[in-house]
Amino acid sequence: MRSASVFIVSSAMTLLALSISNTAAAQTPGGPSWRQRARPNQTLPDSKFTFETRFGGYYPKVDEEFGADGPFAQYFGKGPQFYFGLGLDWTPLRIPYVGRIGPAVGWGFTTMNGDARKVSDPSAAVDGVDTSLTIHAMNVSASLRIDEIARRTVVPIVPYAKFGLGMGLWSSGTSAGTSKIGTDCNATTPTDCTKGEGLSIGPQFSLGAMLGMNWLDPRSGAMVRENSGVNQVYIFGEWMWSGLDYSINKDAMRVGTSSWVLGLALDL
Amino acid sequence: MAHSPSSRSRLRRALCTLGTVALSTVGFATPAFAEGLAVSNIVKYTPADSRTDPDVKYWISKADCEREEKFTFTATFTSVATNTDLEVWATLGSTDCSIGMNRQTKDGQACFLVYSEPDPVVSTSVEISARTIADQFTSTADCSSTSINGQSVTLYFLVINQSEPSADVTEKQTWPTSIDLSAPDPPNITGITAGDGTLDLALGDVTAEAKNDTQRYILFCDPPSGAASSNGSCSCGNPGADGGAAGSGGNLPGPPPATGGTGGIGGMPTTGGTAMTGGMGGIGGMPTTGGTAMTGGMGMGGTTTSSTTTSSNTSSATGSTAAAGGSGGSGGSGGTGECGEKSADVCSSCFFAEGEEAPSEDSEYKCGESTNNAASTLQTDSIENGTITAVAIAVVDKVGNVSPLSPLQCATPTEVTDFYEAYRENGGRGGGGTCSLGFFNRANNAAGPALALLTASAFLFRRRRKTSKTKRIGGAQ
Repeated sequence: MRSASVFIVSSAMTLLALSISNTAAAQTPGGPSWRQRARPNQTLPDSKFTFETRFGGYYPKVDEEFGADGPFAQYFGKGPQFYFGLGLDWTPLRIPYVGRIGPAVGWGFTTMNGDARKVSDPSAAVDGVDTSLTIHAMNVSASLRIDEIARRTVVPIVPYAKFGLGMGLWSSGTSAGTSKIGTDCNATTPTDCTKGEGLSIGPQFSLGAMLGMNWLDPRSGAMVRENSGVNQVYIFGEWMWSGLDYSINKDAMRVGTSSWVLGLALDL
Repeated sequence: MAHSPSSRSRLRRALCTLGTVALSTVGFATPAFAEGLAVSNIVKYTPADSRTDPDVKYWISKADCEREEKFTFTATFTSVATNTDLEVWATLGSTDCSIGMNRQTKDGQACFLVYSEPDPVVSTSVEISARTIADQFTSTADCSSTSINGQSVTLYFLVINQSEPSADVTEKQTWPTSIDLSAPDPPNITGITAGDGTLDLALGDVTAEAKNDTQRYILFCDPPSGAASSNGSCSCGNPGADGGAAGSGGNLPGPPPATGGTGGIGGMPTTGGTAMTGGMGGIGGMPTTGGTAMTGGMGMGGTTTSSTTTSSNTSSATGSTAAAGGSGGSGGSGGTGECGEKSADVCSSCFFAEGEEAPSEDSEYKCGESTNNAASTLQTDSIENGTITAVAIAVVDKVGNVSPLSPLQCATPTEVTDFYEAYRENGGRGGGGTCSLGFFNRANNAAGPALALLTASAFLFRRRRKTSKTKRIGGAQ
């Protein structure tokens, strides 16, 4: 069910972008052309910023340390969790014949809910008592966008890669609040109480490719560029891996993922 | 008749003199009123201290009325004279109490005297009870009215000439307040969900008006927080008294048929928390007609809803002898059901009930509070797992009027294992907060330090590049 909703939302975004471009293209006399010389404004402006909106499935790797059916699978299942994210790349440096490079930041969010289990019978879900895990997945990365292909050929594809430090701010609880485990959690200054929240960090890596949409309707693309400063609109697909397995002065909950995401990106 | 200019001038002088004398005479004859009335802003009104909403700070609530809270003002005059009264009149709405006619006692009177001080001094402390004001506008004078729910009240501070109490008054000051003696409606609970040590109550739709008037919700639980059972019990209903005396027997046989005596009706038991119907006494003997056998009276025992006690006394006779009336049945025994029964079908408490006044907020039964007037769900404080608990809610409006209690809802909180507890039970060690400094930790893995090294290297590399670039620029210069 979750994977279906992830797929539907992601697909809807992609189709929306395509339909907008197609509608505009249909109004262009002669239609679009793959030939570079036939395309107006064939040299793309040198963008410095790329803004991304991304959707996908998130597979927290919590159970990696427990084996097959760890607590995560028991409570939330094995399917993907809906993930939404935003990203901003600043690529002021250009590597000749390769592309742009610079720092990037990203933030993503996913939350999952499941029924809590009876203490007396851990296999029995208690209807109406939810337990949840929420992850804010952030990263600071170096981003390389290989846009020379799109700039110098007719292929409007921009492969890219990012590598950096990922951070997963997570919390787990019930409707009563964040989980607490200990003997004096209700004390004013508890001394034996562990809260169900933490910050997991680790390397983050992603590989993807963006497909420029302006070739579908160069005239509309030029108008958008003139009016809003958006040089290019892309849809992209990306494989995202984050090893959020470490923490600072604490043991970490492994809230990283290895998953595919789809999204829209704007070159500014 | 024509007047010469000189005669007209004389006439004007004469009229002027006459007028001056007349005015002087009137001035001396009428005592000087108190003048320059000024009323300080309220000096003291205890309920205002606990109200955060400035719009209702000086309102009169039901509780203010019951506690006879007092408004204290200071009235000052630039000059005062004898034969004057300082009076305070109260009116609902916009009636002008400085007009004498509006202060007259009559049907439909709109202004009411709530304070009077004869011959006030230059600085007079005026103390007016909230109850005195409220009583003027309620028919029952018990601080309760469903129709008084936020109306404006104006207090008129008037300097009244004792010799002309019904005259219009010019020396006046007004002070506005409002009055709300109406308790809000109890909330509508649409469902209850058992949590881990808590119960969640879903609230039905609330009108925007009611929402605006809501200051907070208070939850009451039985058993109270931390208790595994109710602190006491209560039985419902006492046994009914015995039935009436036996009815007298029927008359001798033969036409006309005799009528047997009618037994007394048994006592009705008192009603308890869940009312039980008492027993009904025996009905006296009913004779049959003719000379054949007659059936005596039959007593009917009492009946309760939860247990039935029936006793009957039947007597009969045949032949020509009148049968004796049956003796009255014994009274029904009282209901044996416990008040405070809590089950899937019944939800009650010995200590509070739907529609009744809420228990004191200081009582042990208070088990939660919410100041979110837009809440759709309310959660109790921590209560005992495994104990069926009855919960009711009261609403407090913005002036502190407390509604009657909502219908009671029962559920049993259940101890559950949430995801994080299961994670820890399985050996997971993550968590404990986000703020601390130290080394990277990951059990049985050395990649943490490697990551730290990588990050540090990146910084160093960047720094070195910067330094060398600066050197190059320096060298170029």
